[in-house]
Amino acid sequence: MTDKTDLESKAVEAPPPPPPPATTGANLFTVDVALRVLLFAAALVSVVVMSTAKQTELASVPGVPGVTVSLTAKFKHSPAFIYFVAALSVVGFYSIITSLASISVILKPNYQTLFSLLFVLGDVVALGLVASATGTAGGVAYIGLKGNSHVGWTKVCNVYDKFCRHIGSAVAVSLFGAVVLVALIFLSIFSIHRKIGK
Amino acid sequence: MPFIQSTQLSVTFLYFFFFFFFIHTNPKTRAERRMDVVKDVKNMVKDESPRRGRSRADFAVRVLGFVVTLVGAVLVGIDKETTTVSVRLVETLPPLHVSVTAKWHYMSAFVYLMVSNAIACSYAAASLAYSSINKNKINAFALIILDLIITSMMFSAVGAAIGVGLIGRSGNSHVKWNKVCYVFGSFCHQMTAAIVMSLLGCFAFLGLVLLSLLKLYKTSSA
Repeated sequence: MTDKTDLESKAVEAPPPPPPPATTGANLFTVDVALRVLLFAAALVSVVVMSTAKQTELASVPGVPGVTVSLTAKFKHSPAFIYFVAALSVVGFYSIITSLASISVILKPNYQTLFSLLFVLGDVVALGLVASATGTAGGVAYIGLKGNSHVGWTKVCNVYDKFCRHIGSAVAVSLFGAVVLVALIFLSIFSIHRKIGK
Repeated sequence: MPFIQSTQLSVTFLYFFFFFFFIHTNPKTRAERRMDVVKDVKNMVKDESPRRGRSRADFAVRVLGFVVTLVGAVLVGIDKETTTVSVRLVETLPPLHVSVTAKWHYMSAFVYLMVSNAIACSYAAASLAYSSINKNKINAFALIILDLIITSMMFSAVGAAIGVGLIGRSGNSHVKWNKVCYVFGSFCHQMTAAIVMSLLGCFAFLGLVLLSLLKLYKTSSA
């Protein structure tokens, strides 16, 4: 608590337009860099897990007993999962660029507020991207898990269990990435908001 | 045809709403209103605007989000189609006519879309009421966070609906999920219209967040 009040008192003293004191923002930006690295890790893990999802199973041909064919499930077979990989790759690249920029802000804290604005604008868009990718992959994976009797889509996760585990873990990790992005946006808004009305 | 009908319905609804909204609540001439917009933009650029609670752009975008999510929720909610499919079990017998029904709550992704549209719509109404009741004391921080949560929820719902709708439209041969949209044509078209409306709502809420962030930044650096 003392640390926080210390930070706030420093923010009161700081005149906003000229370079603010380095220690105030630098702490926040350290957390920022850490979260961005975490976001990169989450994006990387979910892309890798999703793109390594592949399983070959032997299936019997209906009507012809004794004959089996090997069927492969890949993430490329569904446009939803392709979109997921593309979106998460974009967010991964975005997190690399912004963490480098964030480090440069720590080293040279002249344009802290401007940079936190730019970061937060990009973060909101990235959150939209991650949320839509997670929703898309999750919606399709849910049908794969439960099936849909009304339109005759059978569940496939009882056959391709390892494939489905990969998909589920990738979706879970990208959900975690979305939470990290929300935390990043909280942080940026907080650091902008702190300068008002004090 | 039903697709065109439902799209026309929603577009007409939008037009009527905006007509009512801008003509009836704003008894100014066209030129005056244009001057107001110019003044607003100038203020925005120069940052001379008095610190009102919410800006006019914010209000307009929020109303847009409200209307669009309402239309989206209604379009999903009334989506239902019954058609007859002829099934030929035995070659020699005449085909059997089976009536099949598609309802929106048969697919969990569409339920999610419906629920999040409803939540976003009621949130937009509530925040409009809140910001019009107490204009001066508004917790911008809380409002941005709530907007952000609604935005991400809407994005994920639209994503899920598009993902499932795409399977319904083109099927997936690898896991033997047949396409269903050639049977339920108007159902799919109406769902497409609902998804487009919800997508507009997504971008409206995204724009709200970006607008509030810019405003916050301006007030902090002024």
